[in-house]
Amino acid sequence: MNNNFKEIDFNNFLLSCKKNVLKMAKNGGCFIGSAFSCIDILAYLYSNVFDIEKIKNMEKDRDILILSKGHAVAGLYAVLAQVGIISKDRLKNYLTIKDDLYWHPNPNIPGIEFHSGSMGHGLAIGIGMAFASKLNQISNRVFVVLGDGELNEGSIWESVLIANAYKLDNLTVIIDRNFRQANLKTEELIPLESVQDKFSAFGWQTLSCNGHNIKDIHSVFEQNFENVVDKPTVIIANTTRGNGIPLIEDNPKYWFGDFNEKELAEFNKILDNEMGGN
Amino acid sequence: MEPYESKILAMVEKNKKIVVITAENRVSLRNIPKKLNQNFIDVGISEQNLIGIGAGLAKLGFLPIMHGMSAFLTMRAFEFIRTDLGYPSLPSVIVGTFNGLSATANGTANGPTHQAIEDIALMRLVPNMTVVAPSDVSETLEILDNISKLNGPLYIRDSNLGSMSIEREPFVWGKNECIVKGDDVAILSYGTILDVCLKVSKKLSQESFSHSVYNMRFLKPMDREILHEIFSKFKKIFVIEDHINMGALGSIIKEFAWENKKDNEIIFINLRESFFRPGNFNDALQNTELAAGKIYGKIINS
Repeated sequence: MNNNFKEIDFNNFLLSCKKNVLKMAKNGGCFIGSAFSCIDILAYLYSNVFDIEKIKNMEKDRDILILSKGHAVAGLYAVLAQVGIISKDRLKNYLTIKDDLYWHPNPNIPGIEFHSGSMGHGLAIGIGMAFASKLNQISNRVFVVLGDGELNEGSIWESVLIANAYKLDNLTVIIDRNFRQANLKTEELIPLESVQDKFSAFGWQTLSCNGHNIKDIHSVFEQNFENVVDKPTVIIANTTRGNGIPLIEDNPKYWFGDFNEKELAEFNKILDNEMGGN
Repeated sequence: MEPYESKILAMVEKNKKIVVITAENRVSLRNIPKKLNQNFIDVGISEQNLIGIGAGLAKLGFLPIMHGMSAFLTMRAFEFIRTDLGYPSLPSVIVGTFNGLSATANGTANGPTHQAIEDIALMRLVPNMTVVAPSDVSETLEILDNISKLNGPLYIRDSNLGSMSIEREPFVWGKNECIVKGDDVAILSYGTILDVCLKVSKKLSQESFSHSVYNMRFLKPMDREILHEIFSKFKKIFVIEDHINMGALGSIIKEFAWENKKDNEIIFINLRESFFRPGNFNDALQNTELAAGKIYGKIINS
């Protein structure tokens, strides 16, 4: 945990991460809507919470993040490149056959603890890893990022029951609550509300934040770390799919995006204007 | 305490990296959960999570032994097995019980919902998976003795039978064995039905009908050396299994024969493409081609 948290530094960091995503939104594209939905949280965790050296060296007590909503991996690769777990140069290999950077997380990429892409697996994997920490008697933390659409999967609710049964206090789930899934709004397809009441009824500590407000993100994780409870924690991050680019924000057409250079130049300009770009 | 329980307990005492997990299937683990302490996890009736949690543990260096009924493990959790254990080739053990006709061996009458008659075909499909079908508990224990060497997932189609008390050559990992030595015809089988084949064998011997019986426990990777030996020595080969007609030993033998341009006569005795009627083991057997008398008739009249 970084006690010298500075909002301005974070904004610059996040801006660079988002620009990294744009580099992957061409020549085959990426799930840009999904990536820009949870990238603030990913950027926060890797810049302020995780010990990057421990992750690079795969130390036993490193914190672990499983991106269960694998579609957002461009956001994660962008952050991993920005903190130096992978080189920025490597992003140029995206979607080329000579590397393993594609639409879903691949464990050959440093920083990817487990592959994902098929919905509803990551939480079970994370629970296994939380058990591993308990057995190893180490006090690291396991974070699992779920999509809200992913909550349609029955396996998630099996996991939610099990994590409660074993009081896995070293497990934190972050739900990227953007109210959209592949095609439709979540509430129009399979209504999920109240997500908070559901997790609470399943025995979890429930917290929430604005997933695009860094002060809010910082304070919710501080609460999570300082307020240790005898149960797993879920943080419901209220987000907007494609946040930060008006054309794709909450636009059902842009869960996925594959853009030309002119469009990307425009997006870069928008990000610079909105986020300071200094 | 049953031999399986004693074995598991001794293994965990020796190696704390072994974690015993079950999807509330405690038939073979009744007396040990408390003794295993933290190294025992019961995830409740959730086969997908059983495998996913096992995969998470395996990824961080633990060796999970995951228990469940074969039907639910291999079908309900198939994608988890394939994607979370097979793709990363995680050393791990899946112990499936109540498979094939052994779904009835304990006198249970669960019926088609609980029958795993396609489990070998499914598990064979998963890259990096090893598939083994022990014929009795002593063989299961010998398999467990070798799990520290795994470099990928292992599916044990566990037999519910106690020790068959037959003479055996020392167990060798990856090798199948000839348990009755003779000429004229070869009988190939594995698992619970091997015991039925041995009854048939006894009757054949009484009639001085010379034959061999092979225990084909290692189904993937297949012991090809023994197949070459069988195909060279015997013109007529009987393949007997409590599995549907597709994807298991019968298919393995067909694939081998085609790849090696063999024209031996091969007779397949199995569950065809049907569920079998629930009942006590011997009654259920009678409703299939796998009853000892029927197998005997086919072989002696061949």
